[in-house]
Amino acid sequence: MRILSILPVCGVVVAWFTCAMLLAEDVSPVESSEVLSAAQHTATKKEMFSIKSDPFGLIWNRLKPALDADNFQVINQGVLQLETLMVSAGVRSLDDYALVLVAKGEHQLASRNRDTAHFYLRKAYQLSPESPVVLYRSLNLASETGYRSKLAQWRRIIASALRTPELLFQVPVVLIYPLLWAATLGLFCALALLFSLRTDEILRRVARILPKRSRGYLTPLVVILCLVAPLSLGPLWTVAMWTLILFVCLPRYRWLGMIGGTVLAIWGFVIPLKENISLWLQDPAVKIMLRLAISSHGPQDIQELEGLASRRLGSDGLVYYLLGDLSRRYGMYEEAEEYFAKVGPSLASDPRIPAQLALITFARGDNERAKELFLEAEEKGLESAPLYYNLSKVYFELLDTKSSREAITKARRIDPSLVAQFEKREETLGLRASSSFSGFEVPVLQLFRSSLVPMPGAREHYTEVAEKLMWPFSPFGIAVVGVALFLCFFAVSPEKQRRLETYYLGYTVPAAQRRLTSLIPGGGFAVSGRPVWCFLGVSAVALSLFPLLGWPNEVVELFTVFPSASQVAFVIASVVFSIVYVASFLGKKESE
Amino acid sequence: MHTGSLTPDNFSQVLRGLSQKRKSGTLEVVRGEEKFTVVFFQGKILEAFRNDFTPTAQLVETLVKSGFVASGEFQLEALPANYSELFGVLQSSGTSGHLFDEDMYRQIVRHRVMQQLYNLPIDQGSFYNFRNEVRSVERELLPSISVGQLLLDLVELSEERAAFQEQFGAQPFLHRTQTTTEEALSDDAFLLLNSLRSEVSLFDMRESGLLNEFALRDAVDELQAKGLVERKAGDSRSAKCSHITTEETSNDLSGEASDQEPLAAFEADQGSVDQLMQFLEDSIDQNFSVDELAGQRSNAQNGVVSESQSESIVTSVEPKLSIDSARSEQGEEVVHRSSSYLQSRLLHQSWVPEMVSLVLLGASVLLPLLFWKEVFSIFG
Repeated sequence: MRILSILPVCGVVVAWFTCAMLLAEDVSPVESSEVLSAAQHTATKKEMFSIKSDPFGLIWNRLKPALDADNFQVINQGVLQLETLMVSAGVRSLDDYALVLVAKGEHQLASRNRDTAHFYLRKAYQLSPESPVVLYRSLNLASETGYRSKLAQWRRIIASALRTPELLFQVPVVLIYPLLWAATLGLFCALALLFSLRTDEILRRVARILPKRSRGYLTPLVVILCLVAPLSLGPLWTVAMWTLILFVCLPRYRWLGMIGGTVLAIWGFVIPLKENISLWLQDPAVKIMLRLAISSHGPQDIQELEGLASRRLGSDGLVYYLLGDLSRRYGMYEEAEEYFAKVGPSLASDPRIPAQLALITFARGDNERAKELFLEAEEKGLESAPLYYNLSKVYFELLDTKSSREAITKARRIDPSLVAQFEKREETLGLRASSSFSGFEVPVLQLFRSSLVPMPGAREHYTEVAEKLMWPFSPFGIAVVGVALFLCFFAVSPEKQRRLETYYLGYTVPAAQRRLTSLIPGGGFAVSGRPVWCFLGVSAVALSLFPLLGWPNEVVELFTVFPSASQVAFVIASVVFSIVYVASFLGKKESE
Repeated sequence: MHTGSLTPDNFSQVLRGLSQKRKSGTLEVVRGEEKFTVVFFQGKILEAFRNDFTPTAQLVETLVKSGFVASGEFQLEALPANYSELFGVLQSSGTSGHLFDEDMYRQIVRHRVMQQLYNLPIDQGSFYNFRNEVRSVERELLPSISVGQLLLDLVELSEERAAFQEQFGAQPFLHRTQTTTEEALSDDAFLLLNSLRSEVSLFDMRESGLLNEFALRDAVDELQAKGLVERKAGDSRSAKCSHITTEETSNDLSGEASDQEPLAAFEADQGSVDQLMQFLEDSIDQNFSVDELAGQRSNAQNGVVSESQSESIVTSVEPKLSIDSARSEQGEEVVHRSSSYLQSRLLHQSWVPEMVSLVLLGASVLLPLLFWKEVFSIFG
């Protein structure tokens, strides 16, 4: 029965996770023609910008007439040129162009030109072999053209999504408010039902506190005031006050109180994080940072990043690190060294800095110094395939073949595919070409630190949200209230001396009220004295109902991207509703 | 099982033995026809009672003697078997059971047990019998008395009993003065003061067992020092005459006639008590007003209500009013207990939790719709 109760929560979370993961990529609507026109529009803008600086845009513009005419030979050559350029520039993915090709493929599939559709799909994968967005958008196309089964395609989508650092931020940002609201509403319902079913106990407890001479009149008034007044102040006030009442009057249900305190504390901690990260993710330069983390970049990105560095007034060391990395990739070594010198204390001791400087030194021909810097990076704890691969090249130049062999063996042991990929580049581009050096992945921890650096206006924004939720508290105040309530859990003992109860002894919960409560999904748990399970059940139902209600905002985004998601949401809500209802019914029967 | 004869010489040894070995069980003390039971739990005394009546019956006897409960209000056979149920019955009985609360009730139980222990027969010719057993008792309500404390009390009692008798013999009546005090009273003094309705014989008070002898003496001293009561000299013989014997109380409990006039009046109305209570409850629920209740009473006298109801009102309510009138005549401040009674009744009405529950559920549905819109609008 308990497993049954957990299932809906897990199911809803997984469903949300999947949706959020897909939402995470900032993509345009799914309609093929719209994608095509959007991508073409983007390409036009790119063309305007990149006449001088973007070689990809130049090739793509030459390719567009061929795409309109379905000239496969020209398209093939153009894609090959783009692919070669990607290798030489160290770019892993060209999502915009790949999506246009996928849209063309879907158009051909709709016209029942299966082979043509298959061709466009292959070309799209050449440009973006590991992009989760391209893989997801081509899900139907891949299965219909027989390129790959849906199951295999889903596996690739999930695997590639897990390698995308942007998702590490987008998924929690999309999930957190719906989860917290579901928990808050679950708590609200569980507490309301519990109090309504244990009113006599609350009245008795309050009666003991009140003066003897007037407790008969005052008790119901005080109880009603304490229970009803917080409702006019907002949901978090209600949860906080009711949790306190729970600890005082019904200490044997203190676990629910602990959950109440925890949820409030999470609200307090999460509001600033969520709001700041949301603003951070909206910054165009941050999008570039996240692309750079998977080595997807262009020379124009330097300008955007410089803008970001000036906006953050040097407080974000990661921006300088990425600027240095990007400058190095494009051969601007002096600028790169300047940027690496500005990374600040958070990254100054990072082993990637000497490793990056070693790459610059090696590119300039100072092999001995490059070796020293690589070894310094190794001493500081960097033991990765790129380090050993690059170090083997340095040893090779120093004619230390034994050490070179040892280093390349270590690199192969850690990541054989990466070594094979760069060996291929080295053959094509030469030993000292910047693209034949293996770059160093941006550490997720540094990305997280960067996301925590306050964005302009974030403080005002999250303070306003917190005050709307629980006036007059700031997020810090909400967190303090939550932590205080959480600590009450340890201060309250359910094993208090049993008292002789004398008041309201003739009261039993009316049968009609019990039946009505049981009709609520999860209400059966409340009737059987399991408010924590009631909380879980109601939270799961609330979470599954959010997509149907179109609330909160994240759900609206979901339907914007996936118009057909309403049917899926309805099915999920029905299943969750049924499971919770059956589980609570069984729980009630079991207690009887 | 331990058995043997019980004498003043070995009494201490027997009790200490049970205490030191942390025994749990029942000690029966028999002298002739009298039989007493003392319940031990892990070497501590929880309960003591005569075997002729149940502990609850003996408690009711104490309450009747001390005036908290009207004589004839309870049928002996119908008394609950345990203290907590008895308290519930007393609270809902409506006459004067509402005058004490849970803590006071626990205090009375403790005093009764202590007094029973002081009265244990340990003269020549007594026998004891201890059985190891775990007896089901209401530990949350009963006292936990150490044997050491009991023995010390007994020694002091035997030493000072004569002086106590002499002191009380000279001024055997307690009279409640009109003085009020802002100072806090001890629990025992408060209990004693609450039980004083008019002039009461100290012998009656002592024999009632409401407070044990030590507590009674201390409480009287405290009340006297604060000017709340005064001792009065009087005919000690009349005081002794007013003492209600156990046998008489037993008769009261069983509903038989007594030569005590007020008690007889209550007993005469025994048949109509239930009707009276029903009528009172109905009228309280409907009106919440003493005046309106009085109005109904006059209506009843005018024949508006049924004959049986009017009869019960006249016979049962009037004595209370006459006490108040008497107090007024004596210049005392008359405290109408109707307010206290009403609020006490409210604490036992089922519709109160039902109403609170309904209000809570209604507010939980409606108020979020009214007040949370702005909050929801931020997120969606």
